[in-house]
Amino acid sequence: MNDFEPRIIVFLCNWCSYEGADAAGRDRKELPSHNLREVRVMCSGRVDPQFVLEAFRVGADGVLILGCALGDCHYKRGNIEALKRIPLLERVLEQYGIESERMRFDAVSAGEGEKYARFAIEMVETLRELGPLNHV
Amino acid sequence: MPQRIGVYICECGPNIKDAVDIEALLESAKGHKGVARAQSVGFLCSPEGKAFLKEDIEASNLSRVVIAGCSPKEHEQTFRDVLKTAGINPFLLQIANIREQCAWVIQEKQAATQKARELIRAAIQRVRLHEPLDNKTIECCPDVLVVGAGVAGISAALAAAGKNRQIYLIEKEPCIGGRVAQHEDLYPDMVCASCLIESQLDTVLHHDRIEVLTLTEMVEVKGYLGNFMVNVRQKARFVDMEACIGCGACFEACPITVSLPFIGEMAGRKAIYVPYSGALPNVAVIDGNNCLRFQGKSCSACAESCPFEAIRYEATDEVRELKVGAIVVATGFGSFDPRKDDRYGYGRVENVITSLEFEQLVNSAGPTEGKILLKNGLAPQNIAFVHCVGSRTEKFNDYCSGVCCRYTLKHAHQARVQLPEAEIYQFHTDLCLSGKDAQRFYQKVLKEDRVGFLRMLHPDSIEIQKGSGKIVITHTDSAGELKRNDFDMVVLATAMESPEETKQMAEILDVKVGKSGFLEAADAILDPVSTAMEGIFMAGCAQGPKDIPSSVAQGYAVAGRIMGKLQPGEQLALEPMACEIDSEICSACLTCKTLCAFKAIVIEECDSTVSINQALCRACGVCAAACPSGAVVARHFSRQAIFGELRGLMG
Amino acid sequence: MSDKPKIALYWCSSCGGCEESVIDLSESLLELNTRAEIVFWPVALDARRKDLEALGSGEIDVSLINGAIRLEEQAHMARLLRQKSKKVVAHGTCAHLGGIVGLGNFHSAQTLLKRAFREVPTVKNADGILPGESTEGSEPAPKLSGLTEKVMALDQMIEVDYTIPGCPPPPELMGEALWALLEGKLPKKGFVFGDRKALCDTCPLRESRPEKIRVKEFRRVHETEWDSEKCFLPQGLICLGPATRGGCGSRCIGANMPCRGCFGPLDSVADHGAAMLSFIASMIDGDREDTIRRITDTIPDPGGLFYRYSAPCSILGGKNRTKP
Repeated sequence: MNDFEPRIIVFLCNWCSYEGADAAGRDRKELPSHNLREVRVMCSGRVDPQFVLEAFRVGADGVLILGCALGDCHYKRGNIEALKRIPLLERVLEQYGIESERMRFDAVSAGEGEKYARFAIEMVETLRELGPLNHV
Repeated sequence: MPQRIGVYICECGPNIKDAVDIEALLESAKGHKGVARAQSVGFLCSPEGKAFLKEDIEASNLSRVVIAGCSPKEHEQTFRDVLKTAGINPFLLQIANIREQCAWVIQEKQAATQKARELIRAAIQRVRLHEPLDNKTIECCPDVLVVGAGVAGISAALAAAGKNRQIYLIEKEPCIGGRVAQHEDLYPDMVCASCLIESQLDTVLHHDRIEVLTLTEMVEVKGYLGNFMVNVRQKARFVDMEACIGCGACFEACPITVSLPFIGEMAGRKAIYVPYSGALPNVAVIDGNNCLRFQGKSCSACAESCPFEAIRYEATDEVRELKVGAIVVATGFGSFDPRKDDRYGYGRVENVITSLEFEQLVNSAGPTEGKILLKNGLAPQNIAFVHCVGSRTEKFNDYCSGVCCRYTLKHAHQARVQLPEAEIYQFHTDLCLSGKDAQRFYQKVLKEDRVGFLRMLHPDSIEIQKGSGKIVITHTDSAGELKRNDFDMVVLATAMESPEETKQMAEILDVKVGKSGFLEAADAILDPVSTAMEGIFMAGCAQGPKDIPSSVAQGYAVAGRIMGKLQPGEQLALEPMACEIDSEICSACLTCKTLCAFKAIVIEECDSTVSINQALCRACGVCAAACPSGAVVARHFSRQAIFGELRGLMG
Repeated sequence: MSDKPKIALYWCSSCGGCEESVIDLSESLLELNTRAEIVFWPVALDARRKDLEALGSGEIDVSLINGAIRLEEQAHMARLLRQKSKKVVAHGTCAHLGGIVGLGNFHSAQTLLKRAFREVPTVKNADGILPGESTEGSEPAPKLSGLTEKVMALDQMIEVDYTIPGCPPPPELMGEALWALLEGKLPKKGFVFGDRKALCDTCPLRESRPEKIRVKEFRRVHETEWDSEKCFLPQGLICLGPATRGGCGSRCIGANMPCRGCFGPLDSVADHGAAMLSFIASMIDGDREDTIRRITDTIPDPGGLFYRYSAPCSILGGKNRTKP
């Protein structure tokens, strides 16, 4: 499925990763932005597992959750609380027949436009290999 | 009343206009339910653009607004302000980022338009679910509690005190001035510290907006910025502070001498005493642990000798509740105890002393009236100063205390001045000589004072043992060779450590202590004097080892922060997006309490629900994501709003 | 023709426990019989489908339907009862959320059939025959209902007015709901009987719950001993009380077992399993990915744990494609 254009929901935190995504834009980085649909939250810790499930339900082929680097969270530990949910969420997704590679939690800081671009490219590649999510 | 949503697309000059099909976007925007108006504008953020926006909102009688343009990080506040002037709650706005995250990174016009279309649709669906939010405020108390009356605390108190701001300055010792008041000559110009600080101490004690409470410690703290309730305990002094003039008649009469662990009986005091000559307030205090009367024996020597009837045996500890708006922790430093490592010989080998003890020796008001003397009363013929005792080593403290090299140079200079023929050496690894004067001072000590510098391989590569009639120092030099030298006196420059008081403070206040034991800042780089708890600040060595001018600077800095945050008569602005708990749903399972980093969750009296302190909540929403009952109202970022946005994005 | 309200009870894919919840009304069962006319109740009365079909539209005042929709026949009966009833009640967890039956949604219907009829060690089926809908070579030729593609909760098939939660609902709650309905004290549409708050609100172990819970390892009841006077969670046992509607009388807690979540989620929650996942994750005592993974691995089956009763109604597992 080489020409498959995956649709990726990206949760970005207001202080770091959203700025990083903007930085990628300001620097006109090469990234598959047409595959991305960004949602701003104040903190990656706000990302309720229900959001991730709903994202898959409404048609996302993949979900990226990007927060601040560990230790840098604007709200002290919000990103750690987000991280705590990820392994359980991965297992639940697998049990639902959704490959856990379709969800990725990582860190992008305010100046890391390059990193944002890289994560976007990697996720598109992964999803091209996995194919579109067969929505029930 | 049905919503009337206005959609405005900013062309941003050519940035957006050339990258997407604006007309097509306006067409699809108009097709959405509730959209009463869709319009593109050249530069929405310009004065003309904003004026147009305001007029158009009013003319079209809109109730909510979507703006598609640059990142909300650029202009969300700008457009919220416009909404306010147009009579709409500023939170009934949603911005679609079609520039940084669309036009600037998608080359193909159709693909960029498609993404923009979906971002706008999502913004429309989302803004429908926004709630108007208020900018709430609360009454704040502008008064301040400063814990620790050393130079940092005093600086903070003097700077912040004012007509409408009361300062409570509490100090656990019987006198104020901390360490600086016990010093005499200071690096680099040998000015007299206690003289310098005396006028400040006097001002503090007589200031009508500063209440000084000696022998006082913090017991419990409740509340938050602008609204702290602090319980402090003032220990009994047993002497009336108004009546006592510090004449010393009671010291003479007291039969008990308490010997302090330093150079034998030379340093000692009575069971009723003033901590040191010149201590302020100049009022005696009874040491209940050593006084005969308090051990159950009968003695009223001091009361009988006092010409002013100032003794009060029946005095008791008092607990007071203070209401303040901010708290400053200025609890100073402790020193590394060299007894922790046998290699230093401290406590075993005679005439091995610490630098603070040397400081007392050279103090003209000290136990030897300023003379550098050995235990046998004679002057030393050779003195060794050892650096990094307990600093820069994995064994104890891995950090550099930053001040010891400079004051050790000072000590060496003082020793040379007093003992022109003595041999004076410094055992060091690196030398920390930062600041404007240190290099110059070092050159003077090296050349004029003829002080010898012996470089060790590592701070740990030194042994101090008793020889026959001498102290033997064995060290590994920088070439790796073992060298041996004899000295009459050895002075250990001990690490500055975080004292127990600071750690106790941290527990009571619920603030963090870093790896080195000192208080942790809210942001080590941009906010070094605030803790992570709003309203709790720190100054001086409680924050980390530093010299006197830096402690003073931090004292002034916290005063500045406090004066900015707590203006007398003003209200404190609360976070409008602060989360709230629906008490009809909350079962007080306490999931949120475990993870709130700002301690904003309060268990209500009735115990059947919690609530969120609106002054402490920072609106991160972590509690909302974790609440298993869905009882948290995450204002502006509710589950419904995010679901609406997701559905709008995917279609 | 009596004045008594008419009620019907029906079971879809059900274990019979909800029927028992009615029987457990004990003496009050006689009262039920006096106060209402039971027109259709396959487990207890000799009524046929054609009797139901003969009723007028909306003639039944209240139908209580328990069990999940697993067969086409059940889907048909649910639609029929809806047409014939003024009010329909989802009776019990299977009707409410899909129940245990709903765990079938983690697999396809085909996989389930193959497992049950070919793969389990206790089956002898040399020819690998799978049940089908019709049979040949016998007169009359019985028909079996086919499986629906996915298990459904009742409200994914028809409109539901009220819900009585529980696996099964406790007798007190059954009584409360039945009398309210029969007396015409109708709550708002969509009302779920039971408490508005989670089980923690009424749990007998509530006092012992600490303000912070940090778990280094999760354990299951057969793997460990615990202090039965204290809250399960700090002891590493997963109790789903914080995420589950109360009103059951904490019977499991009283029997020294942690809550399994059968009363379903609170009203504001979209996905019961996700709500559980969130609060359990918050208890993990770790700041780094490797520690968090290690502790998470002590939960062997998160999907089954979190969606034991609610898989069809979860955000991912319950998309209804056959609603009329």
